Amino acid sequence: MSPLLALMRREVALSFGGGGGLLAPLAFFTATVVLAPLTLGPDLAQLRILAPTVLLVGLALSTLLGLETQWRHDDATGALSQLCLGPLDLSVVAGVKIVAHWLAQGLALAVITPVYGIMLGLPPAQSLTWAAIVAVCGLGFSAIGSLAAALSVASRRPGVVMAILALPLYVPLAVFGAGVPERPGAWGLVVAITLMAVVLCPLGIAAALRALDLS
Amino acid sequence: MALTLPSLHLSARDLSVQRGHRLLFSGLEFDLGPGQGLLVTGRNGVGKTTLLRMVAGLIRPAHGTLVTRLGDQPLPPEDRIDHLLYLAHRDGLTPTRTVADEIRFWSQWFQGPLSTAGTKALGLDPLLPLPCRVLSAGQQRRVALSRLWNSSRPLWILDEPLSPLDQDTRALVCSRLQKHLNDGGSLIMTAHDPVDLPLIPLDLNTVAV
Repeated sequence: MSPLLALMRREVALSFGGGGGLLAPLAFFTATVVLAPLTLGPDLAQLRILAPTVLLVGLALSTLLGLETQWRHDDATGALSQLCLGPLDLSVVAGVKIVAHWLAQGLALAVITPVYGIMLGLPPAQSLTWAAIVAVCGLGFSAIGSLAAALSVASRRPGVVMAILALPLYVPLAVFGAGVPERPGAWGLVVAITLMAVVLCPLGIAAALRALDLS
Repeated sequence: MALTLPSLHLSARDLSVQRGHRLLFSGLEFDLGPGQGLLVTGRNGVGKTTLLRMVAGLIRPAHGTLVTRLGDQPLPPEDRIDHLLYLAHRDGLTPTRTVADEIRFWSQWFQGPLSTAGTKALGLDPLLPLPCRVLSAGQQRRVALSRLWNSSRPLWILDEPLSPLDQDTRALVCSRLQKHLNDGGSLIMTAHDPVDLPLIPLDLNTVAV
């Protein structure tokens, strides 16, 4: 098996299993979607207006949840040094980690989104659009969140630093992602921002981890 | 004696190493050729691990040069990592994954031959289905060291490889290291206890700042 595939298998297994794995972000996403209608009251029209906000805020925060330990665990065990010495550049390792995290966690949130969309009063005709938005934005959020996680590895309170770093960078994706059902033209921007994040964030992650000189 | 490993020469000239803003040592010089081993000693915090990480290419020297030659050809520093094996103080094992998963993954990652020589030699077979978190420090080190039996890379960099091991395993690992030297490989290691191998001593206390 090639090193790239082997790494992908390892990372998917770690994202899927280790540290609460898939269940933690799924539970967080579900809690957001369930709590929103309860706090808004019985006005379905109002709920429908706020549904995109609820879905994207839930997605953004639950993505962050699973990423906090993504680099910290490998640094603590010493695996990161060995990953630096492998046949692939550290930025490729970062890219694989981002995609693996999305495959194991982001896609699951996208799969459940049509159900949650209906719970939030969105028209069933938009279900698939919303699943696609959550899938694409989820990948972008994973990339940005992974960069924030790498930058906060050496921090004593990585969760706080990570949230402060990631949330402003989440803004464009959240804004345009929420607008897609109303203005399909926003799709281009959402896909472009996600692709840019997936290409640029690994470079930033590699630079951040090398600069930290982790052991 | 037949040398089976590619011949690799390493020479350090006027090497200084910085950790943060602190200069750890300067003016370090050594040469290492095929079949030779270097035993790095020195008091705690003098920079033994930092030197090893620098030879492994994980950090850059603050000053001076570290030149590698493979056969007759000079080897660019960034290509050195393809010819070395670095085992750090921390074993690189993920606590939640099984020993079998970890051994398989790291051998695929470093594109080594997938053989069971290491697991057999170190008696790791009964540990294979266990998650790494239940292993003792010595057992974890044995899992990490099993890579030595599957490696055909000429330069081995080992950070206190013997520390947590019992006497029998130490002897076993030392005999593997001796075979590596006999095959024309080279070795840089740190240790606090005497090591039963013909190694060239390098005392970092003498160059410490």
